Amino acid sequence: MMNWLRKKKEKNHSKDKIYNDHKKVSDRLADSEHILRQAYSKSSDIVIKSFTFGKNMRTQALLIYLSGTVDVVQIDEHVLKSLHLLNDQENDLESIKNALTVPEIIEVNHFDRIYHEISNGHPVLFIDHLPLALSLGLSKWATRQVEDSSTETVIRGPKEGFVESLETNTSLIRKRIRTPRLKIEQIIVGKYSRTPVVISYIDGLCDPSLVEEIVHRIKKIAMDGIFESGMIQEQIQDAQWSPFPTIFSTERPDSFCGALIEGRAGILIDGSPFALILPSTFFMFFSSPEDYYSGFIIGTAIRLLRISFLFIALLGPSLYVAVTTFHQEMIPTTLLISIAQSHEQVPFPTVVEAILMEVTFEALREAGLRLPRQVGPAISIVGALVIGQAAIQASLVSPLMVIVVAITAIASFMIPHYDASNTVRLLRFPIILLTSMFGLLGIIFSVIAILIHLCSLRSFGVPYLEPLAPFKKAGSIDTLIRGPLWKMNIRPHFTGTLWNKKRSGK
Amino acid sequence: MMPKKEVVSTFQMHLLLYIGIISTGILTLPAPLYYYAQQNMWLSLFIGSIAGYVIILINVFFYKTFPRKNITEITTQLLGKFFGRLILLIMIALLIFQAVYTIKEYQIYLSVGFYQFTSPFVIIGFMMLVCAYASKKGIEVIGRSAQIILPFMLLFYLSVSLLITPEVSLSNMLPVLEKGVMPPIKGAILVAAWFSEFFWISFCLTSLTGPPKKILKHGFLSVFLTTLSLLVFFVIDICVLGNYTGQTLYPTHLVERYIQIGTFIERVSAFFMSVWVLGVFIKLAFLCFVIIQSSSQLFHISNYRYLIIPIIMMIFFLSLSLFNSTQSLLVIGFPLLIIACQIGNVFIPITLFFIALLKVKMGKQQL
Amino acid sequence: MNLNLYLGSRIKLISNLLLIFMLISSLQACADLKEINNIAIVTATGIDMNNEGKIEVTIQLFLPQTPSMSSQSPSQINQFAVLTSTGDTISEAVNNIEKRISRQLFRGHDRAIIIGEKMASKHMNDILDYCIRFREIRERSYLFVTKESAPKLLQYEPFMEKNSGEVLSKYVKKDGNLSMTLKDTIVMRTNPSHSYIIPMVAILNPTKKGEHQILKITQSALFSHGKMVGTMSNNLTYGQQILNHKFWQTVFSLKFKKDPGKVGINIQNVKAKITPIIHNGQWTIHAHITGDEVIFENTTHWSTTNLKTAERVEHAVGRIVSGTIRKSVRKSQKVKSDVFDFYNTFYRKYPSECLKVEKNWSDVYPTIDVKVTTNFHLIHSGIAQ
Repeated sequence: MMNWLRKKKEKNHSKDKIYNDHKKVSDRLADSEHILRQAYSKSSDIVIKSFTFGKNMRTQALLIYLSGTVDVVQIDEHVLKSLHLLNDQENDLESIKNALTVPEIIEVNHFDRIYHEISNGHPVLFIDHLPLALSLGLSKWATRQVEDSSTETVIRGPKEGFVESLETNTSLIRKRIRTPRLKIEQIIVGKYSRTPVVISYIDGLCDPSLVEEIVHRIKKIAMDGIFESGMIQEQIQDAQWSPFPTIFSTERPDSFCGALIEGRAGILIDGSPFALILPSTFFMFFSSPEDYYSGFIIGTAIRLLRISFLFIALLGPSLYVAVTTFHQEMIPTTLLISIAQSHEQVPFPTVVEAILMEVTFEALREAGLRLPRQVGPAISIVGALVIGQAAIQASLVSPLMVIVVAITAIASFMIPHYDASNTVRLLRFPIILLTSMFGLLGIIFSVIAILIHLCSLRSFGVPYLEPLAPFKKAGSIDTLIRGPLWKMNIRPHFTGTLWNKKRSGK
Repeated sequence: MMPKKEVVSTFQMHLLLYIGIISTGILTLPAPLYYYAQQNMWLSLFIGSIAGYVIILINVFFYKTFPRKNITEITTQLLGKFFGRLILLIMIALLIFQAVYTIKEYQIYLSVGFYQFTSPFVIIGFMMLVCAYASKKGIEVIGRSAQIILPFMLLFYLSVSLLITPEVSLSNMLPVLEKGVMPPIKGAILVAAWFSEFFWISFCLTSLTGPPKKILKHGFLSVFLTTLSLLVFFVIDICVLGNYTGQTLYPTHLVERYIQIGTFIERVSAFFMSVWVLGVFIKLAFLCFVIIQSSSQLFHISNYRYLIIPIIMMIFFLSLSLFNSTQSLLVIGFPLLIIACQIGNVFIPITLFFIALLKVKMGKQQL
Repeated sequence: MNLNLYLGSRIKLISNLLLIFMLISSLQACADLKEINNIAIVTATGIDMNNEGKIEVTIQLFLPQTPSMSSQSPSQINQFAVLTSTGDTISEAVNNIEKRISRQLFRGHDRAIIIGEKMASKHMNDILDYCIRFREIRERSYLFVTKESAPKLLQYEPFMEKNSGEVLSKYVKKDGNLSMTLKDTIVMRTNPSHSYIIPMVAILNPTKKGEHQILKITQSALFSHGKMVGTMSNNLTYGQQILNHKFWQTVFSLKFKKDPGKVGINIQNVKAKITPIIHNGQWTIHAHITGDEVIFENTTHWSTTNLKTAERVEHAVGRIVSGTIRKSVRKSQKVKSDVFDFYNTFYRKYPSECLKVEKNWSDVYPTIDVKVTTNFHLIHSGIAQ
């Protein structure tokens, strides 16, 4: 058994050998070509072009790139043609670099770095007698156009959303924060995916210890591949066992930049349009960027509406169960009479009815999400029939239950952040169960438990419920209400010693 | 890694007590108080609240004279190892009794008013469960929960007191002092027991931050607000129920049941119960934390969290076995509670205060 | 140190045990669950005494029937049922009813408690004690006394509301009617003579063909020491209501000596200022009544715009009101039932004197003298001149 293990280890080791990850580039071109051909064997998309240049065409060179990731026209124009014009004497490194009319040239000398450059779409140029390679910034990826964010929609506000390309995303941020103080640090994550992850913050506003902590946590991630910021989020957040998201994700550059200006840090990863913002607090998940664009009176009214419907989304069905099975005296007599009449034919206890309807609704929602777009409307028609008219006529559920489920559904869609609304949906079920056993007392104990949990959560050292508990006067006007912008003149303080308190006017 | 030191602001700390005192105060205090002071019970309230101010002063004195020390350490320092520990043991036992009484108060109110058939085992068990959870998370979390609960609670109590105004007849407040000043003073002893709970702060002095002046300010403010909040409910009880106040177990419960605005806001008592339970939770969670933390200091246990389960279990089984009827709770439990509060929260602290003062005056005490 | 290690290693185990503990406990928890299909909603209760001296309890139940989609309209279905049972105590009688039906009685929506005269004249305290002790019965339930049998009143099918319980609860809230909730009654009962007043209802048969039977408050019952001791007419009850600040509005018709015509007048916004005076051992109540009047109808030849008319009308109203109050006090003094709460009125001003006579208040009460002064004010006379 031990032998077998050892053998496997060796085998793996020998397999890694052919890639020569840690080898340096030698000055013999043939060696490099051998290594590259070995490494990129069985890869149909690799292009290895050897050519000669200089006077008498004596200098040998090798250009290697992945087809489809580079701009072939520009290679032809700025690399091949330029090199052909070089004189014989001038084949030292400096003159070659000068000759190449490419803005971004990086000298690389380790093979792992070369592989990385090739994967990033940079054609790599090897020249005989030189113990290094030149990576040329001539990549051209197929990317999606910058378009409207699909998960966080607004009526008033910018319509741009992040896309999958990191370069486009950072440019969207740079476009909004035009200062060199905006820092964009890069870390490579993932053993095989080698995904660039970028930490973005504003120097002088964001506490350096926070950035350090983020870098530390990201570096600790040990995974083969990272394809979405959600995968990073799950591994770096504080309370990993909590149903509540403690890192805010957004698709909107304006929310992202707004958070940076407050002194938070952001994380962007290549290949995902979702950026992470941290530290993030509870109330961020229940505010929409539009709150800040539509005037503080309207913003406040909408926020209050949203918070009150948050309670309905969380407790609506449980309240119905509690009131109709434990505290019937609370219902006005005429309403109780009509509930009793409609419930007379229903075969299930109220709690079963509630859970049945809620689960059905969640299933419909999930089905509607996963379906191809063309079949989407079919689900809504079936859904309307299933949890609507037919269920009532078949006396499976009472009409009031349908109303309750519908209101709860609307309320849960009012939560602007998708992760948060999922949490609320999930928590609803244990509360219904507890309520079916203890009535309002069950609701209260669930609320207490959730409250203790929320109060104990922290996001990168910042209490989750921050501006309200612990209470901070300056921040509290941007929580349940949205105060006037000119009153929000104190920047929130998160952790560490750096606190640029005043938001300067000029 | 040592856990980070937990701190609460003086505001949060006094908030905990404010919520705790008014929660139990509005429900169970009016009936026995009416027995002693009749419609003059508001006067008892003012006289009794003096105890609160005195205890805040004692808290500030301890905080100032013994910086970074809890009452547990102060006691052993003042009285020596043996006597200090003995007194501490008595104090903790009295705190446990107060916790048990509060739980029984809560359970009997729920059993009588709402959950006739649900076993006390479950009603108490759930409360103990959330209290254990809260104590595990520490004083910081309890303080923050109180901050979140406060606006909901105040809003609800305020609307209850506003909605009942059509039924209020202020003439019930007369006559004033028809039987002399003795009845209100007798009543003040009961009220003082409630206000004496402010002494619990002394068990958490190390968690407090801020200058002593702030404790004084927030302390006096919270005593005053407690008086005011209780006053509102006492006045409402008398003005709605008149002489009947003394003949029912929970006058405030009866008053709140009587609310009717139109035909849709009526019988809000289940909501009242829910909000009341929130307040009692804050009180009990804080009390359990205090008991657990001081016991861990008494027995020199490095992490107080090890004691959560044994102590919570002990309180749980004690409250299941003691005072199993309304009668025993009222006839035996209530006087015992008053005595426990007066000894544990008033008599011992004042004695400690004078001993400390003496030692400071004689210069024996290093400041 | 050892203790710490020991506790540290056990803490997971203990918390798991605790969780299991709680799960088991939650299984036996649904004890208070009342599924809406399993409750019988009581809308009114009648309590009476039968000829053998047993307590007879009648309840009016709501019958939940789903109105079928196609057939007759729901109004044609009889939506309530009336059940009666007897027992030695009220709770026993209620229990006997509960034994006979398949569902659990739910009295959180009980709006009216109707008490038979026989029961009222002997065991009123039993009823109040039962009602206030039982948590489901609301303090807002209205109390009524009837000379007829309680079952008959509960079986009465009204032509406007769903059932008689609803009729009564809406009826008492209307102007001029005496309404006594359970809480009002128990609070009023705390005076030394334990006296209170409760409206009496009766079913009136139609006087003409085509009319419906109606349920009406006919007079008020006066109680003292837990027994019904007398009655007071509706008109005299106005006096009690005015002195207790519970009067809303009503219509009087005025006759004059000098003119054959009549004036229909509405008095409203009535306020009473009551001053108790003990002078030379004579207990006197000074009541100063103020209020507004509106002329609804005028068949005299006097113009309503004339100030002289206003004076005449105001004077006449004052006479009527003070007469009503005096008569009503005299009526209650005759049966020694302090339904005006005079004891507390005196107690607030003369506590020590009152405490002396607390024991024999029933003897002092009839000697109290009532002096009424009035100040009514004509505010308008409709939109006609």
